[in-house]
Amino acid sequence: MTSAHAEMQEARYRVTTDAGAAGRWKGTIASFIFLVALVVFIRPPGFLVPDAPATLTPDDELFGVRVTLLLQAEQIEAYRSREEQLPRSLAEVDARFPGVRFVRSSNRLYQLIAYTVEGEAIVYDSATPDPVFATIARDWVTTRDDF
Amino acid sequence: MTIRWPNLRDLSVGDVLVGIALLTLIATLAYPNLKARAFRGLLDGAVADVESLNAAAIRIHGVSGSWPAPTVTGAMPPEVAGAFPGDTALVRKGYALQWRRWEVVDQIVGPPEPRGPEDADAPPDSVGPRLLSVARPIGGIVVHSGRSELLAELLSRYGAEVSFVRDTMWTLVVDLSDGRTP
Repeated sequence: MTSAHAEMQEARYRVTTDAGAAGRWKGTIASFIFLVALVVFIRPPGFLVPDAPATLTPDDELFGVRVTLLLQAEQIEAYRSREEQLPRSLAEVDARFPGVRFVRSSNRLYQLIAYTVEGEAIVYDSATPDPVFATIARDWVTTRDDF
Repeated sequence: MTIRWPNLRDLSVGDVLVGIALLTLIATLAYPNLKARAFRGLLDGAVADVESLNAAAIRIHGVSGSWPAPTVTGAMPPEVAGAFPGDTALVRKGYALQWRRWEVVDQIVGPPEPRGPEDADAPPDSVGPRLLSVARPIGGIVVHSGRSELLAELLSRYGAEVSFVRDTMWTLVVDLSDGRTP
C-alpha cells in the first residue's frame, strides 16, 4: 500500500515536471517569435517591402507654387483683356487660388506672391516675369514666341 | 489518413501563446504588402475617377463647345453625372475630386490696322504683326487629399507638364487647344 502510494506520488511528480519544462520551452519559443515579429514590424527586410510610393520633392513643391502663380496671373490677364483694367483685388477675378497675395503697384502693373512650404517667397512680377514662368506657360498659352 | 485536430481543452497556455505569436508573425510579414496593395487600390481608383471626369468633360466640350461649370470640392458637375453612375458626389475614401475652370490669355495675330487714304502711297510699316489678347477657357481636375504620396504618384503618372501639386491638391490642366491634350 505504501509502495503503491509512493509510486503514484512519484508518477504525479514526474508528469508535473515534464509539463512545466514543456510550458517553459513554449513560453520561450513564443517570446522569441514575438520578438522576431516586432523586429520585422519595426524594420521589415527588403524582400518584404514593395516599391515605396513616390514622394514630393522640394522641386515639385516649387513647381506647384510657380504654376499656381502663373494660372492666377492668367486669370488677372483675362480680366484685364475683358475689362481693360486691372482688378482692384483678387475678389474681382473669377477664379482664385488659395495662398496667393495680389499687390497692385500701379494701374498697369501688379505682383503675385506665394510661399513655398519652407517659407520662401516666390514672386510673379507682371512687369518682368521670371523667364521660368514663360517656360511653364509654353505648354498652355500661345505667345508671340509661338509665331 | 485523417488529420486529428487537437481538442482545445488539451491546449496549454504555452500552446496558445505559441499560436498567437505565430499569427502575429504572419500578420507582420503580410502587413507591408497589404498596405501597398491598399494604396495601389486607392491610386487606381483616383486615376480611374480622373480619367472618367476628364473624358466626360472633353466629350461635353466637344458637343457644346464649353467646359462644364466649376464646382466646389466633392460636388458632381451635373453635366458629367452620366460618367459616374450611382454616384451623387465625387468624394471617396482618401480623396475628393473637384472640377474647375480657368482662363488663359492667348496672343493671336489680329487683322492689320486699317490704313488711311494719306498712307496709301507709303510703303507698309516694318513692324511685326498686330497681336490681340484673347481669353480662352481651360478646365482643371483637382484631387484633394491629405496623403502626399497619392498626390506624388498622380504627379508622377501624369507628368509635371500638365499637372502640379500645391498644398494638399493635385491639379490636372485640361486644355484641348492646338492639340494640347493632357
